[in-house]
Amino acid sequence: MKRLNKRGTDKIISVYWFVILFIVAAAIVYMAVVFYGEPYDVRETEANIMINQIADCISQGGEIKDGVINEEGKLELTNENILSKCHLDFNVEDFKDWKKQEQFYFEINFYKFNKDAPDGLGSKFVNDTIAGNMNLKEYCDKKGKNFPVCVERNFYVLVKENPYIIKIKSIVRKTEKNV
Amino acid sequence: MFNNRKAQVGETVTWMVATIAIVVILVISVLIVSIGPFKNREFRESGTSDLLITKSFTGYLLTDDVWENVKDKKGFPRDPKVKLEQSNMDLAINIFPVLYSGNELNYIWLGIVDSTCKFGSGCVVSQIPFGERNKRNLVGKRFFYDNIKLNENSFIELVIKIKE
Repeated sequence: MKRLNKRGTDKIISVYWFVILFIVAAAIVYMAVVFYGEPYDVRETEANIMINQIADCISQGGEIKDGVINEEGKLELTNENILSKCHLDFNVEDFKDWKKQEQFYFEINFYKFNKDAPDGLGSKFVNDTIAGNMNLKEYCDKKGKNFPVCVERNFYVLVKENPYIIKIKSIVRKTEKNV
Repeated sequence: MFNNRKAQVGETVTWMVATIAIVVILVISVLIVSIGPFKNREFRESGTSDLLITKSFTGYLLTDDVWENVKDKKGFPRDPKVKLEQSNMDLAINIFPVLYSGNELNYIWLGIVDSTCKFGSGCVVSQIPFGERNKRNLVGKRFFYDNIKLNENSFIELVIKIKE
């Protein structure tokens, strides 16, 4: 009688252990899925990388690179050739409608450096150079993770010993994979 | 018989308490993960270098006679009150705060530092009056640091800190 009782208790304890084991395993799996399932938003980093690539393409050692501005003072980088000259590729993976709608945009503005202006920006030196999906600009003043990420940076550079501020605005959409 | 029953009740209570403890710990962990800070994960670069700041810093040093003035101050007295040349100083005050939009900047420091001395305001040979050179400002995720050696004993340093 006693032996039978003990066997019954052992069985109940085994079932209990399996239930507990299952609950613990399920909770760990759930936590891992929640933790690793959420995407990292890397768009700001991507936008900064694009800005760095453009800045490197335009200037070196604090001065504008040869071939960026010609003898007549005109910008050699045009909307048509900037992607190839700066080794940028806006092709993206075939995901949702990304192929139809470009996911990147940037614009470069050259301003004369004006020490009296609070933002240091004087008159525009040359026309803007732009590339990518211009519509993305519309979302820059919107706040929220579902909108494209806009990053704007300035840097100081010398063009034939004259000081300029170059303003680069970079926008990355890719909302579906980052939010 | 009684003793046996007491022992059985005691054992059951122990198991129940243990089960409740396990369930409570799991529920708390799951709740923390579900509502915790992992939901909106932003990836930001770490490190203390920033290409655009370095480019601007180099551009600044190449402007007019800034580099000549900075480089030739070998005999600078060890006095923080001694400033860089006024024109160079004004230029720096105009350049560096505009690299980031105003509300993003937390701290800027630019000056010449005695490299033979340990960290502290006493090491400052000369500085732009943005603020004090303070170790407290060299912590955090978003500060950028650049320096250029001037001679064996000194270097020019730029620190820019962005609000986190």
